[in-house]
Amino acid sequence: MKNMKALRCALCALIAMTMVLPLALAYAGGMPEPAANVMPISDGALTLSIYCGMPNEARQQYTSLADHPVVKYIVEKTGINLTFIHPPQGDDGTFFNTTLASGMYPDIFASSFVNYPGGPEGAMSDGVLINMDELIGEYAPNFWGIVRDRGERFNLEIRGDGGAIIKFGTIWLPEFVNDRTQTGFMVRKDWMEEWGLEAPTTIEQFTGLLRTFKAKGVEVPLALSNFLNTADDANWSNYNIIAGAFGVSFKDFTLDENDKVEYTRISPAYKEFLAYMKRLVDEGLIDRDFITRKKTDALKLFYNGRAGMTFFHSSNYRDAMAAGVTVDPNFDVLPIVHPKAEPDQVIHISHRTASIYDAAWYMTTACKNPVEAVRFIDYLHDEEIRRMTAWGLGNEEYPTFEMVDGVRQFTEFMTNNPKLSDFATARALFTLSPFQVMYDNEMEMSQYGDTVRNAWATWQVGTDNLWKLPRTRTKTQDEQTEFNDIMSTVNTYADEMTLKMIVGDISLDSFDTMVKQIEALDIARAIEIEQGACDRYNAR
Amino acid sequence: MTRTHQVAARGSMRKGIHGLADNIRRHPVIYLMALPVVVYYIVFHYAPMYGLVIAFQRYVPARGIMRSKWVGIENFVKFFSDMYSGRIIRNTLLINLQLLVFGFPIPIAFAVLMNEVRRQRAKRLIQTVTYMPHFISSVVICGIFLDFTKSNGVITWVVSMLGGEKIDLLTRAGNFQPIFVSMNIWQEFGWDSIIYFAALSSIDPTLYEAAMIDGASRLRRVIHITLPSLLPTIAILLLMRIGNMMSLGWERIVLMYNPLIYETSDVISSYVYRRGLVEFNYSYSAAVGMFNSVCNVTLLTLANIASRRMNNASLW
Repeated sequence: MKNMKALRCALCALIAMTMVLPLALAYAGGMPEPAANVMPISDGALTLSIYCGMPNEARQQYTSLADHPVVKYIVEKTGINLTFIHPPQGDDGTFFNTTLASGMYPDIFASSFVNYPGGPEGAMSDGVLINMDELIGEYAPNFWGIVRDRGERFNLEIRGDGGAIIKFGTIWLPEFVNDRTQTGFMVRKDWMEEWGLEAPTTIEQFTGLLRTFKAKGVEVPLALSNFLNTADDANWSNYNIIAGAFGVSFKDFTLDENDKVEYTRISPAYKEFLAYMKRLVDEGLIDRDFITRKKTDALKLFYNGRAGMTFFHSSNYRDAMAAGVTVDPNFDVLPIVHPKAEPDQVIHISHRTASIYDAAWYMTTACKNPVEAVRFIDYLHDEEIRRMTAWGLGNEEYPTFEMVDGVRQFTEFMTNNPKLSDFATARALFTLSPFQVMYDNEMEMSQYGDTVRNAWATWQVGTDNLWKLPRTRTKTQDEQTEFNDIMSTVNTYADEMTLKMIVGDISLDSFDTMVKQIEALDIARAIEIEQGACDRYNAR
Repeated sequence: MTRTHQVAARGSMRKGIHGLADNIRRHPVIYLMALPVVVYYIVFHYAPMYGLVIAFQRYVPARGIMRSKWVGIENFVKFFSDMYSGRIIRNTLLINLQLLVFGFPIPIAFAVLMNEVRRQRAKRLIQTVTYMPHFISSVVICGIFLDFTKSNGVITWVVSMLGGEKIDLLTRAGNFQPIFVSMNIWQEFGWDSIIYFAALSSIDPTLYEAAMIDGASRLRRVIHITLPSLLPTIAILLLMRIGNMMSLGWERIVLMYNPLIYETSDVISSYVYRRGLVEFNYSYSAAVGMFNSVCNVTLLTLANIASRRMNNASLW
């Protein structure tokens, strides 16, 4: 018996090795070590066009990022002129689609190709993007420096299913940020103290708190926005933390204990979640208009003292405090842990920021100067440029930061500039997040006080990402078409049924009908496709 | 144009192409003036039609039309075999029908009534006030109506005064279409009436004077002079409305609806929008657009024939 086990282990190891071997050979000798990337790249005769986002706050002063001081510095250093294409304000992704449809590509796309059929590698085989592997190997020393620092595993993380590098110029996050939860429930601290209430942990205590709020005359115990409007609030519609307490997601595919893909809306626990939501609605504990509520409207209910609790992103903190105290001088907020069925339950599908971004820099087939373009993107990984994109120039004309006792801090020029309306505007005007390739924790932390850091820590209690599907898995083009055909109907159907059951338009008994209908729409095939994508990801 | 020119023009028409060349030689300036418009239609309205072939392909922009894969009628089959195709076609038609039945007569009635107002200043003021909403953007209008129909909104309050429930109106499927249609009528009736004002001003005043002398009352004058004079305009505009029965923009729908009331609010364009946004599926959208256009052209042709038989007014 023991022998059998040993044999099986050996066999497994052997199979694993034969699978890894070709990969290992492909990257034999570890990672490339190209020569230093010396500036300037060009003598000023060369121009690159770049498609990238532009912060809304910067639009009042700059016509494009070409007016940005840090961009000007980069242009001067590299000797490469830059022209920009920016999606319009409030774009919902249509602009990117039409840019692709037009066939008139810029030299470089700094955006996400995750939704493109087949991912970035699909775009490469369609002739939209070019495979940059060789060029990156030869001309991108700064990039490889970062990958090497991160460890061998990241030589795989930066590649797609087909082995091409698809994360060149992506935003690198420190490992610990992987454990940072930036969204969760926020309650009125002053009311909790006034009425002697304790912060809830379990879902029962959570309900109890809402009931107390209602009994004390709070108009809206829990203010929420529409669950399903991804364009309005992606955080809330993608990571419904009430559903988390029941061990389900709100609308996604999840992994079970054995890494098998499941569709959340046909699992029996989803019915329990619906029953709970219906209870909240029936008892009047939830905003009765939540279905047509937008995120900003829901937040306003909380800011102006009509609501006792809301779903919150840590970046809302400044606004909440500024608005709240004008209505009630005692206004204060308290983050609470994500509600759980049992006190020691671990929620496996909570929201945490990923350690590597979806978006990256890609070169298109229209680019006439691939070598220079790769060297340019690589230059963004240079330490000086990384600092500037996060902190601004920091010179006499733009005194954006200073060193205080060895700690870098934003100056009054940024935090309290009389010419600018707020810090967000200063950040958009003088730092350059669209060109940032490295999350600057020092800078992010410097913006927030103890309450927000406390909130991150609180929201993180008893949560992990174990049941979430890997973000960078990709489906092939045919799979993607088939998957979307199935899921666009399933989503329409299940969204409608879910809300109808929650508000009581139809009885919860219809849940079984819903499961049958979703199965009839061939959810099994969709699960199979997701499973395949996950398997390929794990085999990379 | 002098009489001889007219005769010459008629003569050359009969002779076809040959005559056209002849005519151009004789009146080069007139044809030169028409040229930009003809070019505009060719370049922007007829040339792009070849792009419709992507409805029969799995179109990938980088490959272009020539190298994309042909899939026959696959996209059409997908659309019609979808469990929701019936519902979204029904909603599109229903909303357009209501806009036609309730929305079309209102500008006419409004223009006729305003025509009877004697005081010019009051008339101008009312006209300006009623067409102003046309210039407010859809996002703002929809935002206003979303707020007004919340459980504490002003429209909800009025409805509750009349015995309705005090709930968020847009969470009841039955409410969406009346609200949406009223919103559109409210915003557009003033603007739509402008063309009738123009038509009214061209009616010969001597007709009214003669009728007055014959002792016709105001109502009689409206029935026997105003309305018959407006009839050609009404017929043409009605035809053009019918030619758009299958089209309904997604913007306002998407701004107003929510999944709870998909039953009555999901239309063809919003369904395609939700699908196209995640999918980069240009071919599917083209197929649906082509289906819409074919329906529209068919309806328009039928209505045009009916109109020509009934009252001799037609588009062509």
